[in-house]
Amino acid sequence: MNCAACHTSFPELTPFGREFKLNGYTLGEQQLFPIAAMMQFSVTNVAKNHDNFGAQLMPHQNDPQFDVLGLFAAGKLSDYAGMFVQWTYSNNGIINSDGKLVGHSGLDNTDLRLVMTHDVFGKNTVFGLNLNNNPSVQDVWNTTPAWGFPFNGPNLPGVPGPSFTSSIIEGGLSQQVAGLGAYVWYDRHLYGELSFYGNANKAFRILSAGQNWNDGSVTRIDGRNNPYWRLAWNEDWGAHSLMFGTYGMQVDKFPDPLSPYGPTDRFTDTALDAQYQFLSDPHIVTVQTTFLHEKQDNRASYDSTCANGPCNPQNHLNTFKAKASYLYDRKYGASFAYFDTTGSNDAVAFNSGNNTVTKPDTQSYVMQLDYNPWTFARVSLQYTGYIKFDGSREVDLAGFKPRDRNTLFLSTWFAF
Amino acid sequence: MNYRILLSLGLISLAVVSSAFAAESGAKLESQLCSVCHGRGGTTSSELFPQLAGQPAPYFIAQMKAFRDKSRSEENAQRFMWGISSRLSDQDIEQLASFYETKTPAHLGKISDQVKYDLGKDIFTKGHLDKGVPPCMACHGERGEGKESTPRLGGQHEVYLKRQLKVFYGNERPAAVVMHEVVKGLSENDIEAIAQYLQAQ
Repeated sequence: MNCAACHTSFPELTPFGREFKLNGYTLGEQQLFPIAAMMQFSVTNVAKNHDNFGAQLMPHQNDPQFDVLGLFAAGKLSDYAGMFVQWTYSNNGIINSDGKLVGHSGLDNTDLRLVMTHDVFGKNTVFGLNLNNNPSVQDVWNTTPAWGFPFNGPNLPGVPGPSFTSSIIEGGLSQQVAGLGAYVWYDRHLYGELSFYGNANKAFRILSAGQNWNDGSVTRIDGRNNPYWRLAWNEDWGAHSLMFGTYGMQVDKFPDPLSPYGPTDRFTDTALDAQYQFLSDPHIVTVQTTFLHEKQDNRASYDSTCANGPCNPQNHLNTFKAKASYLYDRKYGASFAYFDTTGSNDAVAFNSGNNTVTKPDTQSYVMQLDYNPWTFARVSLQYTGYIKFDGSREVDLAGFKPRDRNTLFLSTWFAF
Repeated sequence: MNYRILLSLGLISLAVVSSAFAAESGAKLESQLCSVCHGRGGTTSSELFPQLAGQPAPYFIAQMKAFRDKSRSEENAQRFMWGISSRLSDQDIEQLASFYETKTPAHLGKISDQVKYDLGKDIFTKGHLDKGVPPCMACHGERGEGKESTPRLGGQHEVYLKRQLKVFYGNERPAAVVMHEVVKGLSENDIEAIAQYLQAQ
């Protein structure tokens, strides 16, 4: 299957792309070696790269980098089974014990499906089972975290991205968990899903290949029954496609990832989302928006003295994202996105040390221009600007105004 | 091992077994697969994709087989139809052809440029005999109804018709021998006019 059938511009899905994924990647040809690869090179510039004490914020300022090599095995396994498996080598993946940036590889987004179709009340209905390693990687609208905007950005330390503080569902569990779920896609209108997540260890260890379980970098959650849900209504008519939905997750998290025993904190994420697409030739317009509310119930780690845990028994974190894109002739693209994160005042939970404000509030925007000379290549210029950063609009302790962190990112991307 | 995993494994086995018995008829294939892009019953308001309702079965069958053996190779054929057609058997294609042939075709009736419409009508019904362009209606029918191995064009989206007529300048639809000759006598303006006329039928 050609890229353009499923994507307006990778990774945004067309109505056919959604159908293809929900039918378990089974429409179309079965290839003998369903392998694809992806590479990215980039240059990153931050407006101010040295703090008041002369320390560097980010390595490789204005220094072209080979970023990522990705290998994909994707497609049909049989008429009723399909997969999407990604293996990624990140050239500036981790900071080693000497404080140097070194390469790192591991399993990336993985989505395995079994599907069947049956008529229910005379309407075509897809029933599917899913195994994945990142909550929302299985979703088909580009409003949810795993495949949401920005699709790409600097992966160098010191570059915060448009949201400095994220809810747990926004990548906090990616490639660290295994989720098994069932979904129904009724009459190409109504989507419902219920999945259960647990850490990808023991029998599911392969789904977290590349993660270090001994250095505290993996979020440890209790049991295999942390629920993820999704309900969406979709309407496609002519060149238009519209979706309204809700999704969410409840996670029981161990306060100390190195000691995954005893009581847990409960994080409950609930989101409302919507997407509109206008797909014609040569004009394509897509708009996505999400409002995500996270309730952090610090039932295990709460400490009223703020000495050993969050000062508040309960905190909240609200994330709003909206993005609009225009694509001409599938070659020239322009996107604008706005991000607004707000949350509780907690001197421990939301104290990053950047400033004296202990709220996670960040307001930012992303402007992006894309040029796709061929379907397998893209050049992107992305500018991320900060209006408010980590609770403050003022100069922080290191001497940075929010806009000093504004980031320009030029990347070239190849898929083959 | 948790009971949820066992339950999931049970559901997986059930899905595999029961789906093995699912047979696919033309109407079912249409609703599960084709209608995603071509609209239910083969009528779509998206100008990206052709209307299939009322398309003569012999033409439909020939095109589907040309996608499947990759002899029809314009950009959108490669993007969409090569993959889709690969999973269809001869029997599937024949069932789909009979399904679409009996559906009521779309009549868009949309004229956005009367001058072009009139020119299009003129070329369609009388041809450009001095440039070697025969009247289109000789094969496609007076209002582009189509017949046998000649496609229905009436009610097709203007954008789609223009794109296809330009494909005939190249050699990506080798089966359409006649059309490769015909388009040599048509200017870009002529093509736009014909598309305007046909869309309104």
